[in-house]
This record gives sequence, structure tokens and C-alpha cells, in this order.
Amino acid sequence: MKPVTPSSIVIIGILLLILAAAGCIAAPEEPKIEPVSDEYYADMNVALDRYVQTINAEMAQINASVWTAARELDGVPADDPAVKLALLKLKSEIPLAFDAGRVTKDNYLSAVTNPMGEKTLVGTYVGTYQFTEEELTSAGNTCLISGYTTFKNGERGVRIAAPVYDAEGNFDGILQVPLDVDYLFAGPAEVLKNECGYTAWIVDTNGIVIYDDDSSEVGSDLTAGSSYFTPAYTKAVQTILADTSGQASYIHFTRGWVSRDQINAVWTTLQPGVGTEWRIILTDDVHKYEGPESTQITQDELKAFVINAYVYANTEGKLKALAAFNDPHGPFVDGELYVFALDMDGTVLSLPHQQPIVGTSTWFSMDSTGVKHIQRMIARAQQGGGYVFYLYPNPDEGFQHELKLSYVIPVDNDWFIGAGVYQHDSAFSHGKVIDWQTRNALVGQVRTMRYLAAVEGIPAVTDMIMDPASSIQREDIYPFAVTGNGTILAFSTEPALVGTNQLGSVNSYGMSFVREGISLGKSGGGLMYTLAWDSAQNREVYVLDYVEPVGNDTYFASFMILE
Amino acid sequence: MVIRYKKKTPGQIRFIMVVFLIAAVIMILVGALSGLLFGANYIVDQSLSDPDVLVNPSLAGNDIVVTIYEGRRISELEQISVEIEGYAPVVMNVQKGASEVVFTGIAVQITETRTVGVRGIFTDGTVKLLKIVELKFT
Repeated sequence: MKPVTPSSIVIIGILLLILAAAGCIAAPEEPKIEPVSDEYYADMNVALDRYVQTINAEMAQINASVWTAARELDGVPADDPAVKLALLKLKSEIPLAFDAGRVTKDNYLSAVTNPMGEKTLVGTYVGTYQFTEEELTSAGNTCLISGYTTFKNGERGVRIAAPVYDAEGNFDGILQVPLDVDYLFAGPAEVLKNECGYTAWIVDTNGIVIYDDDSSEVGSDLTAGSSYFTPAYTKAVQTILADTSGQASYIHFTRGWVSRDQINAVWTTLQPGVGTEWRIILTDDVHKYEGPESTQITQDELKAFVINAYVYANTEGKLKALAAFNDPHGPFVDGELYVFALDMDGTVLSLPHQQPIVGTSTWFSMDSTGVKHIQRMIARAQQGGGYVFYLYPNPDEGFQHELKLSYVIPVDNDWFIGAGVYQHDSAFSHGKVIDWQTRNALVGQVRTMRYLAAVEGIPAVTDMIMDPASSIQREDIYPFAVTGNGTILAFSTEPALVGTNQLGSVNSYGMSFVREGISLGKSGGGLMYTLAWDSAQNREVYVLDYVEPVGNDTYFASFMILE
Repeated sequence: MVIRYKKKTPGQIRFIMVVFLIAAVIMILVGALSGLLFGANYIVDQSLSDPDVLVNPSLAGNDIVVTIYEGRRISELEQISVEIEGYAPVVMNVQKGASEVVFTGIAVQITETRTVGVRGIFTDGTVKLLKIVELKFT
């Protein structure tokens, strides 16, 4: 071994100095925290109070509905057909409910409203995650609310439960509602963002994120920390979890993790029922929309971009194609455009700008209206490909939710590719918030029709759809009914279509929206966007549809116009 | 210890032979069927991994649009046949240089998920399977 000479020590020292100097030069300047006035925080607190009151009122109504339904089920045996009707009625009163179920005192699921769950879950043991009789009775005359959880079907949210008693007053099981808390928070949060310029995020007292404008953050544990967390943010999180209310300013990454900036936050605590506490936090890191920064890519340019990738995937094979699609500097990334690839089960195969998501399931991903946009893309790919609409945060516009038009095409039966462009000139983007109360009423109307069909029969409900004065009618919501082979049974706004077959209907984007709606109903129901002809305006308009299956082969749906 | 072999009766020998023959026939049948299925899948996979012409069928209302992308025999493509599972094939001519062929009304009343095959008929009379895919009609 050679001895260490004084000259080599000097050289190493010089190299270390150069490295240290380079580090100083390259290190980004840490923004300094500027003082925030009391008036500024006061304004934020006014918006926070309004937001919390809205969430609180919604939760109070949901709790009351569940508790009332549980009392109506007292003395009714768990396997009585009346239970199913009560569950359908309860679900119609709670648009945010994924389902409603009755659990026996032995912890077996005896009834649910979801047709898929009825086939697969009824009769199964659910005891591992149920509340105990002691917990339920100690809560008094109110419901229990679980922590944030993943349900058996894969959806995520919280479970609301109330005890049910037999005719003698003995504990006889549970009435439970798995609740979509994402849209509970997201609907009013969109209003908050557009009207006040604030965004909201919600954590439970264990530090689990149960809502964030960035859906990839939902479910993460803030107490576990991350290499991306700044010390100031970590400290703020600790304070938020420790104190029931307060205010703080900290330096943290802005959305997209590109730059750091000062973020000001106010928070308070909401107890939505017995069993859990939510910290509701408002921050001011919302980007103001200042008009489109890029020129609009046309529909044909988008399609040509995807077709180019489709040809590559077919000629070069899946492995080579996915490697190319995942390369952020590769030929399949061009400004706003990039190719994404997914399995037909929603597993991400390529996403050049969001590599951590590759390999994860996005099956249940929802946009800010509650549309499961990945499932809609898969449905379109399974029709052989075409265009799909959904809302998606635009990184070039401060992650504002913009209407995105994607073109997807299946490579084979197992996977598909696609790309999308933001529709800067759309009739409902940029500050045009979809009214969350109307959206919930849309869901509620279809569920009410389903409940009434179970009580009075499908023909009675189709008559109500056609009757402008019937009790199911709501302002700005338009119900209709269709059979599985595409025959219109009832249509409130287009009576001339009743009795006709509409499987062949397509819009100007070639979307087979009647076929897609039936397909959505067959899979259990849900929300979808489309463009549909409005004879009153004599043009196509963007609409939001909600559909649910009824009986063996009938689908009830309603739509609201989004412009 | 003395091992005694008991002589088998002709009836026992016949029974063993019958059982053996039945087992042998079953094994041959299973082997032949597996080979046939594997062979058929292999031929389909091979033909689709390098199609003469790259095409994709997609649903648009009651129509199926077959888009023609590229391929070494694209100039020889004369006709396209679309076969929807459970329905008779429909053949249409391909115009010179056409990028798509619309099979108007081919999906009328068709629901559920069905396998759809697209075959190419070339100028020399050869017929090649170009694409086989499951389409969700409703």
C-alpha cells in the first residue's frame, strides 16, 4: 500500500472545498417565513367555520337517517324482506353511502343494497371489523363512526353504525353504512377553493389523511414522516395533531413537489359522531387561474399521438413499449401530452411523470365529482377505444381541476394505452364548479326511484318519471329509465324517445353513451360524464349521469346539465 | 418367509387389460386435445404477434369501425371480415388507401361482452386473422 503523501492530502482538501462550495451554490434558497396578520388568519377562520358547518350539517343528517332507520328495524328479524326495503330507503336518503347493510348479532351480513354485494357478501362473517355491543350501547342514542378504512369491496371511507334491537329490546345486531367521505369533503372544498382561494385537507387524530385535494395523499400516515417533509411541516403536523384548533405558517413544497413556499394554515376539530375526531385544516396554497398557458391540442392531434404509441406497442412488444412510455424524456412525452398505460383491472403500467404510482391499483380513483374515471377509461377501452371525459388536476394551472379529454385504445384484452388534453375552453372548467348539492340530489333521485320500484314496481316509477308533477321530480335533474337492450322505458325531457331503442346513440365524439350507461349499471352503477343532445338548446351539452340497476334488466338514471 | 404368487384367472387378466386400454385411450385423447388447443392458440398468437396489417375494431353506437393502421401487406388488403361471437361474419370491401372501414348497423341489438374477430382477405386470395378482441357491447 502506498503511503499518503502531503501533496495528496492537499489535493483531497482542495477537492472537498470545491464540493462544499458547489453544494452552497447549488442549494436552493430557503424561503423565509413572512409574518401573517391577525386579519389574514381571521379571514381564513371565517372560511373554515363555514366549511366545517357544512360538513357538520351533512354528518348530522346522515347520523339522524341511520339512527332513525335502525329504530324502524327494531323488532324486525334480520332475514325479513322488510329489511331490504328499509336499507334501500336509507341509501336513498344518503347519497354519499356506498351501500347500507344489516349485520346479525353473530356478526354475519344478512342484507345489503348493492346487487353485487348481495350475491357475494350476504351470509359472510364480518365480525373482525364490527363494533361490539358494549361500544354501541355505551355511545347512547347516537351512531358510532369508525376510523378511515378499506371496505371488503375495496372502496375506502368510514363506517357509520347503529345498534338494532329485537322485539324484547335485546341487542340484535347492527345497521351500518359505509360512507364516501372523499366526496363529503370534496364537494364543499371545490366551492371553498373557487370562492375563497383556500384548499382543505382532513386527518384523523392518528395522523391518517382522509381527504386531500391531491388524492394520492389520501390514506397516508403523516406521523410516519417522509423524506419530502420539511422540518417546519413536520412540526406543523405535530401541532395540528396535538391541538384541537390553531393556526400555523410553515415552509413546505407546493403541490407537485417542485418548489417550496410559505403555506399558512388554520384548523379546527370536528367530532362527526362517537368514535372518531377529524382535524379540518385550511391552507392558502391555491393557485389563481390566469388563463390558458398553452395552445389547445386538437382532438385529432390527441388521437394521432395515441395511435403512434399503439403502433409502437404492437410492433415492439409490451416490455419495450412500457419502458419507452415510462421514460419522461422519451418519444412518448411531448409537452402536455404523454402516454399512460394501465391493465384492465386499473393497475398502472406506465405514467412518465408519476413513477411512484406505477404498479399500484387506481381502480377506485375518483375525480372531484366522484366519477371513477379509471373505470370509465377501462369501459371505453373495452368498447374498442375512443374518447373519455373526466376532471383532473392540471399541474400547469396550479392543479386546478380541469376537464380532460382522453383518447384510449386497447392493445389487447389485458391492457390499454391513452393520452389526454385539458379542455381549456370547455363550458365547465376553471371556476365553473359542479354544484355538490345538485350532484347529491342526482344520486338521491335515482336511489329513491330504485326504492320506490322495490315497493310499488318498476311501471309505477316509469309513470312517475313521465309525470312532471310526481314526487320524485327535482329541479334541474332529469330522470329516465332504460332496459338492458337499450329500449327507453321513460324519459322526462324527451317523451318522443319512449319505446325507441337507443343502443345506436352516439355523440360528436363517437361515444356510445347509452351502451356505456347500461354497462355501468350492470357493474353496480355510478357516475359518468358525456355530451348529449339537448333539444331545448338545440345543441350538445356536457352532462353528468348517475345510473343504478333495478330488477333483472332495467336501469334507472338521471342527469344534470353541467353548463 | 416364502412368497407365494397367486396365479391370476383369465377373467382377472381380461379386466386388467380393459382398464389399461381405457386409461390409454383417455390419455391419448387428452394429449391430442391439449395439443390441438395449444396448437390453435399458438397459431393465433403467432399470427397476431406479427399481423400482415395492424387493425383495431371499435364500437360506435350500432356500428363497428375497423381502423387500418399499417402493415407490410396493407396495399394487398382487399376485404375485411368482422365476426361477432354468435353472429354470422360480415365482409366489406376496402377502398384503396382507406384508413377505416365502417360496418354500419352490425351491432344492432347486440349486448353483453362478445369476442370479435377481424380477418383480412388479400388480393392473392389468402385470408388472415388480423385481430381478435373482446368487446363490451353493454
